[in-house]
Amino acid sequence: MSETKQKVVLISASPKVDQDWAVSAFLARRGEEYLKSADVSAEVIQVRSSLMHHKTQEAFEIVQAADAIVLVFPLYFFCMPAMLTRFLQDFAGVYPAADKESRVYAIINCGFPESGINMEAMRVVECFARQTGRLFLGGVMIGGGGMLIGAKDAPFMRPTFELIDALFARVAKDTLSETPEHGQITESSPKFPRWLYIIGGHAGWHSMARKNHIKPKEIRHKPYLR
Amino acid sequence: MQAYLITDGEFETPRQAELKELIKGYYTARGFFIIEKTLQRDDLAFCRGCFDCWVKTPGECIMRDGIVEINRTCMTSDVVVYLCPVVFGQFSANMKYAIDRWLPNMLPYFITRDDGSTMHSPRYADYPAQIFLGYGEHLSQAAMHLFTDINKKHRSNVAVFFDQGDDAEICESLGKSPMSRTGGAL
Repeated sequence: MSETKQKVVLISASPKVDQDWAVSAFLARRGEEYLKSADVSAEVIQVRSSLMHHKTQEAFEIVQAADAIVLVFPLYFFCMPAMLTRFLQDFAGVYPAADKESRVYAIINCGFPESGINMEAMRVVECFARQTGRLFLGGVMIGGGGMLIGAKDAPFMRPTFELIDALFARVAKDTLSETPEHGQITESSPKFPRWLYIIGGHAGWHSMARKNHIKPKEIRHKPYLR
Repeated sequence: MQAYLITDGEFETPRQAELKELIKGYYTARGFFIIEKTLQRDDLAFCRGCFDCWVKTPGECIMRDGIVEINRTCMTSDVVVYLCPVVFGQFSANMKYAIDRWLPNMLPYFITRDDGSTMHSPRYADYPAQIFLGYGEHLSQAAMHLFTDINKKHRSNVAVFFDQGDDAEICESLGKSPMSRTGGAL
C-alpha cells in the first residue's frame, strides 16, 4: 500500500430537510468521528446539500478520488432513495469507472422492524460497485431505524451500534492493508418487542397528526377515488 | 378501462420508442384508453421523507408539483406500466422520483403480512395492476434478478419482465400480467 494516507468518503444520503434528525446523517457523522479518531482521513458528503446547491461536480471529484466510500442511506421502496439514485446515476455518467483501487461499503436503515428487508438495497450497492469497477465489501443493514437516534443510549440499542462501529473499524483496517478483509454483510434490529415498536409507531403518527390539527380518522382520507 | 404508461425522458432510445408503441398498441387493441407520461429531469422533486402526506395533508404530497397529476392518474387507472431503464439493478433516477412519491397512496400504519414481514397498510380498497418492463443495453442476469426481487418480493399485484429485443415475447408477458385493479394488502 502506498505511504500516502488513504481517504475514506462517507456519502450521507438522507433526503430529510432537518439533517439533525436524519439517521443516515447521524451515522455518517459517527463514522467520520470514528475514522478520524483512528487516524484515518475521512470526509462526509451530504448528497442533499450537493444536489440542492448544484455542487455535484465537486462532490463527484471527491468520490472519484476516494480510496473507499461508505454509502449511508435509508431504505425507500425497497431500494435506494431517489435522491441517491440521481447522485450515483449522474456520478457514473461523469466517471463511468474508478481510475484506481476503490472499495465500497454501505449502511442501510429502514423503518420496518426487520433488518433483512434492506438486502435488495445492499445488492444495488454491490451492483453499483461492480459496474463502476469498485470492490464491494459489504456493510450493515439496520431495522427499526426510527428508534436509532431517540433511543441511542438505551441498552437495547447497544448491539446495533456495536455492529456499526465494527464496520467503521473494518473500513479503517482496510485502509492499512494491501488485501482488505472479505466483504461481510451484517444486520441488526433493536432488541425491542416488535409489537411495542408498532404500537409506539402508530401513537407517534397520531401525535404528529394532532399537531397539524388532523384527527386520527382523517389520516385515512382518500383523495384519489375513482 | 384506463392504462397509464410512464416513461423516462432521459433514456429515450429508438428501442424505447418502439416499446412505447408496442405497449400502446397492445392495450388499445384491448379497449383501454391510454394516458402517457414522460418524466424529465427536474419534473419532480425527490421525496424528502417528511411524512406530511400522512399527517398533514393525508393522501397527498405537500409538494404540489407534477406528482399530484401522476398519483391521481395512477390511482384512477386499471393498469400502470412503468417502462423503466434498469440502472444498477434498480429504477433509473427519474422513475424512482415518481415511485418514492407514491407514499401518499399508503397509510403510515404497519400491518403484518402472511410471511410475518411488516408492510404499510393500504389507503385504498383497491389499486391498479402495476407492470414494470425493464430495459437497457446489455442487462446482466444479476441486474434483472435484482430488479425483479425489488419489485416482486415485497409487493403483490405486480408483474416484472424485461425487453430482450423480441416484441412477441413482450406481448406474451403483457398477456400474462394482471390487467385489472385488485384489493388487499400492497
